Order: sequence, then structure tokens, then C-alpha cells
Amino acid sequence: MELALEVQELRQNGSYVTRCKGFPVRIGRAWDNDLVIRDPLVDAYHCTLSVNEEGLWLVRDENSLNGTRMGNKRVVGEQPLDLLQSLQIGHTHIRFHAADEPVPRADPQPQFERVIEWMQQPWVAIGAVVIALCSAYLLGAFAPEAGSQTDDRLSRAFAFVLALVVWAGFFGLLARLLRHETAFWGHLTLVSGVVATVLFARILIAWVTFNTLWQPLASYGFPVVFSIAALIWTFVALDMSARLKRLPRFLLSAFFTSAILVLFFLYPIGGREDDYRTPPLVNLSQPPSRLVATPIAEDLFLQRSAEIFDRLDAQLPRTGVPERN
Amino acid sequence: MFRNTSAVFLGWLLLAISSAPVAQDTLDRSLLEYYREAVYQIVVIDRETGNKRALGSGFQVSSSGLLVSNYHVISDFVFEPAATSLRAVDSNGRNIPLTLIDVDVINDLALLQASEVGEQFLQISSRPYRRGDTLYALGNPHGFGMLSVEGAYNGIAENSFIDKILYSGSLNAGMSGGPAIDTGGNLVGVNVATAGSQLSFLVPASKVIALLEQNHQPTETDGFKHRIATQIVEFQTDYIDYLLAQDWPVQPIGENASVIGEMAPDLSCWGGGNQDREDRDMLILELSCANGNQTYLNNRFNTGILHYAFFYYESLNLTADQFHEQIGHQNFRPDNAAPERFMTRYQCEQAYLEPHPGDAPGFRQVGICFRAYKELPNLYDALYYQFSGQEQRVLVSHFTLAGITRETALLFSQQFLQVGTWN
Repeated sequence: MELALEVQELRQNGSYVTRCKGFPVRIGRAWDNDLVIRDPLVDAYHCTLSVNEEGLWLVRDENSLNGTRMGNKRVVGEQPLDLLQSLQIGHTHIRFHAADEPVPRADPQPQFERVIEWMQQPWVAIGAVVIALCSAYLLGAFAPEAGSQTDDRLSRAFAFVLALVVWAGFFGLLARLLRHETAFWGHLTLVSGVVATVLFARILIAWVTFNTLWQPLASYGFPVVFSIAALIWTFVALDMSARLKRLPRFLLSAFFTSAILVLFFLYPIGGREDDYRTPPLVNLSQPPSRLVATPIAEDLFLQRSAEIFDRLDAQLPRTGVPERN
Repeated sequence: MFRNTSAVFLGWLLLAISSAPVAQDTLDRSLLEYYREAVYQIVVIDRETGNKRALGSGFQVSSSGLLVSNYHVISDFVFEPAATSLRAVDSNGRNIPLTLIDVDVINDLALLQASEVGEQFLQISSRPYRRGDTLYALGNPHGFGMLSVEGAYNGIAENSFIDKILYSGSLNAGMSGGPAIDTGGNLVGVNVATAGSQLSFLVPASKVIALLEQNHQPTETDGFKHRIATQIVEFQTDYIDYLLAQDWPVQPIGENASVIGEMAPDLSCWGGGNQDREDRDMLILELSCANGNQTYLNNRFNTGILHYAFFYYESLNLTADQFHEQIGHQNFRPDNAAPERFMTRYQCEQAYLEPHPGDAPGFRQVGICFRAYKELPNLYDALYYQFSGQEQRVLVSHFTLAGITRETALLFSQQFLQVGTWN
């Protein structure tokens, strides 16, 4: 027996029809539901439609936060489904039609469903991991470290992939707690994508600083890029979470973002060391063929170096220091 | 640094042993007792708690109650005159307040005036000694009481710009500043440092005479810091002049790069690399040179060091991107750490320079930094890096030079800019 479900989103005034084959029909925000509804007020697994042995249609609310309403009554536990009434889930109304009944249609709303569902495919996630791995390899992340006596390319590549998986698992768990629909594979795609972006952005920053010898960006380039990536993730992940209202969501985002920024700026990669204030004096990160800067003469360089002393003397406390003679 | 001096001097020690020193005569035991009365324990007292901060030894050198000790024993007093006071403890356990008269920070000496004049004092010897002559180092190690250590005179340490007597006897902590006397009871040197078991250094008695002959000015408002700074400036200016006057020996590194070796006899170079590794993806060669002029200023605060090093990298089977990614992550840092209390932050200048005449095409990048000593006028540290690179080869030239004036820093940098070339 087939049932056609017409899903009408009141907010956007559009509707589309899904034909459901077989029962039960699971409804919710998560991508693996039979009917996926992108609505912040809908739980990841919101409610389920089923048929009992007598052929009676039932609706069961899966302990959703905002509840399921039939007519204007809240569904408690499992109840018989009244096909003449519409089911209200969040902002969304669901109407039922028999399978052979013609249903008026409207164009479906353009949404991110496609992208998110695509991200959730394991093969896409594995593809993203491979892309991140290849970018890291090509950009030299696994090349043997200049000072080290051991060749650990394989183990470093392995650790790299393991880190992606661990982070995806961590974010997946966090998403579960926030009842967010994106699960492990989606996060693996997201994390791998962010890492590949960071790797390329870093090369870009290295190129800019290599040509301009801009010390602050050279020293903080990586933390800056990483902070931006973390910021994007925080906003995206938290914004898609239906559990929070707009203000607490913003406050939480701001808190996480500032915590990440503080962490990366106060404790730059490599940790705090005695002379961590020493700027990176030279930039070797690019092959010389990429150099577009114009070299200057030695005399001019020495002349500029001599001016450092005036800047230093200006920092010294005036009291107690006798004048130079 | 320490490694290399000790190796040089170990070689020396072996030579000295093979020439079989024979002690002709020994010091009379009663005389030793007699000279012990001229030796004091020097204590730096923390005024707040009344407890000791630093311990060492010292000895009386004149009938007027002048005491000599090491600068490093009393350095806490120099940097914190308001928080500390100086005291001598004689062989009977009596406390005698001391006044600091002068310091020689290069040779690590301090001249003090005792408020109560003791009866015994040491005559300063001016006669020459032969290797193997017996000396007795006196002092009060760890505060256990006066101790004498017998050892042999081994001449002036070679390959050191600062004169030091090499003494084959074991000095212990707390004996610093104590006298080393000959069998006639005359002062030969001042205990100053040890470089391992049975291998120690003495400040020659001539440096004590020079300190006594100084025109001792009354203490200035900033204590002795100005005096210390002047001594370092004078010493380092002479030293840099001496280095710049040398013919810096050019030596090859890698396939076609040239660097310099030991620019003067007091510098010592060490080499290394990864040539013996079969699975290497790049060739790394390293040459590192340093002098032995570590001037102690304070706990965790030294100056006077010159360290220069060269790193040669050649990619064997890495792409240009992989190669530069790896060497770009190398940490290039100053070789002397100094507490923020005493130093400003580094201020740097960096630029791409035109390649040396005759160099292969590529880039040449130079960075130079200076930082100032907050409490020692006219003194700076310098930090320099030059990278000259091609797609698959890079040469890094670096020096750290501590405790110099702006003029000497620039002169040295100007000459060092010519170092590190491709041919």
C-alpha cells in the first residue's frame, strides 16, 4: 500500500510531494530519514509513521523537543493517524494523500539538502580524505624533516589520516549531542575539506610573506588561517543546530571563536619558548623561482640596520642610563 | 661550546701528564694553616630574609684589608644592591661586613674592603712558574670549612682570548674566589671555574695586580653596572678588532658553496651532517663555530659569546616545493638566551640583497636583529641570518654576537655579509 505525503512548508509557501514506499516512514532532519525536513524546529529523528497488523495508520512522536501536532493536538506517544488532518512539525505542515490521488504541485525549494546529503556519502568523504592527503603530500607536509635522523613519512601520513578521522568522530559526537543531522561521514568530508583549504592557504601566505618579508604574517600565518577555518566550522556547525535560539547560538559561537583565536595567538604552533619573540628572520618556504621582490644593495641594508639602534634606544628607560660619549 | 673547550683542554692535560711533572718541594703544613687565616668565606646575604643567597671564597691581599674574590660570587649584589649585602666569614666564624670597591667582569674578579682588617694577607707572586709546579687551591666548598686542594700548574690555557691558568686539581663549588698559592705561600691565581674532574682554571695573579692598580672611583648611583658595561665595551671592541684583522679562512661546504672556518685561534669549529644515511632525501651539512669568551653577568645571564654556523641543504629526490617546505620549517634562533628583565626585544631588519658577485643565480635574503641591554649602557646583542638559495640547494649563514657596541656590531656584520658564497 502506498501513501503519498505532501510536505508543505508554510514559511516559504512552497510544497513538494514525496511518495513513500513501505512503512515505517521516518521523518526528521537527519539525512537518513525517509522524509528529510530542513527545519530548525524539527529534530534529527522527529516522528515515525507506521501501519499496524489491522492496517491502521499510526503516528509516533520520537520524544521530539517541539512536539508533533495533529490538527491542533499534540501527539503523545503513538496515536492513530487521521488522514484528513494535517500533521504539524515545527514550521512544516504535512498533508496526506492516497497513492492514486492527483496532488497539486509546486516547485521544490532550493536548499542545501543536495550538498549536505552528498557530503554524507561515505565515498565522498573518502574522496575528500584522499584530496587532503594528496595536497599535504604535494605541499611537502610528509617530506622528511631536515634535522631528523629518521624517515617517518608513512607514519606521518597515517597519523594525518587518523587525525582527520578522530576530529570527524569528535565533531560527529558533538553533532549528536546537539541533535544536528550531519553525522560522521559528513564531518569527515568537512574536516578534510577544511584541512586541504588550510594547507593551500598556508602556501599562499608563505608566498606572500616570502615576497614581502612581512614578519607578522609569516610568524602567525598558520594560526590565522587555522583560526579562520575553526571560526567557519564553529559558525556553520552551531548555526545548523536547532537546539539553540539565535542569541545563545551567537554567544556560543563568539565564545568558541574567541577561545580559538586566543589559544592560537597566545600559544602559537610550536609552543611558547624563551625567545619566541624573535621574529622569523628569513623565509625559506618557497623556491627562489617564485621570488618577485627586487633585491637591494648591501650598503642600503646596513644603513637600515643601523637605524635599529635608534629604535632600541628609544625603548630604554631614560633614567639611570648615562649619555653616550 | 663547553664540549669543545673541554676537549681542547683535555688534549692539553694529556700532554701535561706525559711530560711527567715532578713536585720539587711541598708547602709546610704549619704554613698552610697560617695562610688559611687570610682566606674568608664570602657570603651574599638577602636583606629581606637574612639568609645567604650566594656563597664563595675570598682572600686578603693587603694590610689595609682589601679582599679579592670572584665577580660571579658577588654578582647578586651588583644587580640588586638594595636587596642584598656582602659579608665575609673568617676562619674563627666571625662575620665581617664588606664593601664592594671594584669589579673586573671579564676576568671574573671582585675587589672588596673588609670593615675589620685581618692580620694575615697573601703576597702576590710575580715570578714565572713551570708546568708541574705544585699549587694549593684554598677555599670553603659548600660551607663545610676551609679546604686545600693540591694540584699542578699547567701553564696558560691555549686557544683562549682571555688568559686563564690551567690547573690540574679539582675545584668545588664554593671554592670560587679562593686563592691558589705556591709552595712559598704566594698568590699564583684565583680559583674561578672547573671544566671537569681535575681540570680547573685560575685567574692569573697579574689580573689581580691590574685590578688593585685601578683608580677606584667612588660608587656611582647605578652601582657597578656602568663600570661593567664599560669593561665589556672595551674588551669586546679590542676583540672584534682582533677578529676583523684576521684572515678568515675560506672553506668549501657541499658541492659548490664556500663558508669560513675558525676565523681566529680562540674559535673552535665542529662539523656534522647526514652523509652516512642511505635513505636520505636531502643532504644536510653543518659547520658550527664558537669562542670561549662567556662573560658571566648574572645567574642565567651571560654575554661575550660569538657563535657562527653554516647549514648546507641539497635536495636529492624532493621537489622544489617539498624541499623548501622542509627547510622553511627549521627553527633559526639566537644562541644566547637572556632574561627579559635585562634585555629589550629583538628589533630586526630584513631584505633581499643582490647576490654576491660571481654567485650562481638564486636569491640572497638577509635578516639582522639587535637587542639592547636594559641596565648596561651602550651594549647590544646581534643576531644575523643569511640565506642564499637556489631551487634545490640552500646555504644558511648565521652568527650570534653578544655584548657589543653599535659600531662593532655594524663593522662585524659588514664583514660577515661577505661570507657564505656560491662558486
